[in-house]
Formats: sequence, structure tokens, C-alpha cells
Amino acid sequence: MENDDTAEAAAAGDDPKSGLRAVVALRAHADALELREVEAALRVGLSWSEIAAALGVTRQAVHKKYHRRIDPTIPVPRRNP
Amino acid sequence: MSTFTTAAATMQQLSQAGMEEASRHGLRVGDLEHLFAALVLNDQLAGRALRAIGLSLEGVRDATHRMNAAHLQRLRVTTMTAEPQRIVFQETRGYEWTPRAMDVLTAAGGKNAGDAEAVLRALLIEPSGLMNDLLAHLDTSADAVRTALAAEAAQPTPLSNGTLKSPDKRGVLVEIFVPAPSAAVWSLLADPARLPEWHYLIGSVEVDTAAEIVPGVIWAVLAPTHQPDGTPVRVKERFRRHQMQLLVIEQPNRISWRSSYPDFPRRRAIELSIQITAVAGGCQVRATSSGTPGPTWKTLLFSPLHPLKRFLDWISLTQITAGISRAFR
Repeated sequence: MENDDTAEAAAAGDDPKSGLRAVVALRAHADALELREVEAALRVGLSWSEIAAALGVTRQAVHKKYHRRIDPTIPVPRRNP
Repeated sequence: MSTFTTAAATMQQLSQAGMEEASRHGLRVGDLEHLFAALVLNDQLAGRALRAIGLSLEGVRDATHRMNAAHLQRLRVTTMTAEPQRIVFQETRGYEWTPRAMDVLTAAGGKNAGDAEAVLRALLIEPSGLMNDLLAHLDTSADAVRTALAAEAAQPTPLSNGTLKSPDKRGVLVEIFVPAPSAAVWSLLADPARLPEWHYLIGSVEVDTAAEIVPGVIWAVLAPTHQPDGTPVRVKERFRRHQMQLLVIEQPNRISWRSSYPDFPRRRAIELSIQITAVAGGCQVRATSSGTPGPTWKTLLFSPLHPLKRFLDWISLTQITAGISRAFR
């Protein structure tokens, strides 16, 4: 993605709202990818802490966002087994 | 039907169908396009109006895919979007609407009717412009949809009598639109071996293939032991075995069963009747469910709980009808 491209699109008379909607679509796409990657990481045995570190967020944040959303058949690691 | 009941029923149906759509894309957050897809499937006036101008679930899915691809292209993002998967809403959790989709649903309630038409009208004026964009990809417009709503409102209501109660007043009634030909829906419903495909309380059926499928025949049925994803299901022993007795079979549009629990004979038997009517773009399925009447003293004793019980029965029937629709999505 380049700033020139975005400026070019705007100069071409594109609706600026269209660009903003495009960002929303990209965010939804990223969300779907993130859920898929979190599930893949849990399947190979990564802990919530390791996933959080890789995503650059806190363990609490990643756990809160995904613990109910992931495929329930994935064995989820517990901090105090 | 009161405004509150209408709004609650509409919210439940749209939320389930919308989240099912979101789940196909690996999302746990439903947005405007998923709400619109749910409206296209809806059996109320809004859904009929959308289908009357040629919109279908497949068409909306395709238009949404093209719209999102165009959005990503505008950002110069080249990525392969994952192929949609099967619906996993029933076996996953943590679903919610985006704030803007919630705003639409909230705007449809309040002083408005809270029905699917109010939701669609609120969706048409949502401020992000996504709906206009999506409708343009469907070769239509918000004005065309409003015109279709007005035209549909002028038509006599085809089937729904606007109540959750079944005609005999003892049970509950649910009507849904199924995006499949009536013959395909009949094939699903009339085949006892396919009961587990759509009835959420049935995991397997012991079918005697030599037996004729005629009124009075009884099938032994077992409750599901596992979810589709393999998660074990805990079922009390007395609810594990059912008997499904075929009461009526009138090809190609009417079928009825009575289900009972042989290990819990005190539990009242439930009669489930389904009628199929072909409509534009698919068929209308009208399902009623009612329990066999108990002793009068029991009816009187528990009468204060009737509204709650009716609501729970309605939720259960909603799950069954959603299963029929899901089998074709």
C-alpha cells in the first residue's frame, strides 16, 4: 500500500467514504485471519502468553478476545493445570 | 402479536441467520452485510420484498465478495480471501454485532415496529454507505428496495397469521423461508434417515429400510452424542432414546410426527407438523409444535408459567426450523 496510490485514488474522484469502507473490509479480513492463526497456534501447543507476545498485546487481552471464539475442540492450555 | 414480541422474534431470527453468515467467513462479529443476508432469508414482508426484486442469498453472498474484493483492491492490497467454510455458529461462541449493526437494530425498535421491515428501512439509511455500495453490486438501489417494500405491503399476507401460537392455540408456530426448491425440502423432511441433518435433538435413527413410510410407523431415535465438531454432548439417560411416530405424510407438502421418550413416559409427547409452500426463490416452511394435553389440574396449576413455557417451546421450534434452512445453506 502506498500513499501515492491513495492520493491517486482520491484525485481520480473516488468517494473518500469508499476508502474508509475499504479499511473496514480490510480490518474484517484481518480479524478472520487473526482468529485462524490464533487457533492454529493453540493447536500446536502455544500458550496464551506466547500468542500474546507474538501479537504484541497482553495475555489478558488475547485471552479475553479469543477464549470464547475459538474452536471449542482445541485443547486450551491453562496457566495452573 | 405485540410490538415487543415481534421485535424479540425478529431480533432472534435475524441474529441467528446473520451470525451464521459471519461464521462462514471465520468471523465472530456480524456486520451490515450479514444482517442484510439475514433479511433476504427472512419470511416477513422485508424478505419477500427483497426476493421479489430478484435478490437471493447466493446473489448477496456473491455481491458481498465482489464488493470486499474491490475494497481491498482500492487499498492496493493483494491477498487471497479464504473460501467460505460451512456454518459453525452452532458450535462456537462469542458472537456479537458491530456497533453500527447494533445501531440499525436499535433504530428499528423503539418507536418503530421492530419487525424485519423496520430493520431493513433502518439499514437502507445507515450512514456508512456500505448498503448503497452493496446494493449497487446487486444492480439495485435503496429506492428500488423501498418501492418493493411498498408493493409487497399492498399484497395480501400469504401465510403468516402474525402470531407465535399454533392454530389450535395449544402450541407454537414458526414460519421461515428456505432458499431451496420445495421438492428438495420435501426430500429432506420425508426421509427418516435424514432427520439428524435438521433436527437438533436427533443424533441417529434406526431405520428399517424394508418398512413402508406410512402413517403410524415408528422410528427409534437417539439423541446426539457429539456436536458436529466432535465435542461430547451430555444427555440425561431418560432423554437419550426417543420414538418418532409418523402421523401424517401428504406428499409433497405436509408431514407430521409425534415424539415421545420411552424411558420417561410421564413426559408429554410432542407433535411436530410441517407444511411446505413453494414461493419465489425457494419455499415457505410453516412448522407447528404442541404437546399432548396433560391433566386439567396440572394445566391450571402451572398456568402462570404458560407464557414462559410457550416462549421456550418457540425457541426450540426456531432451532428446528433453522436446522431445515441451514441444511440448504
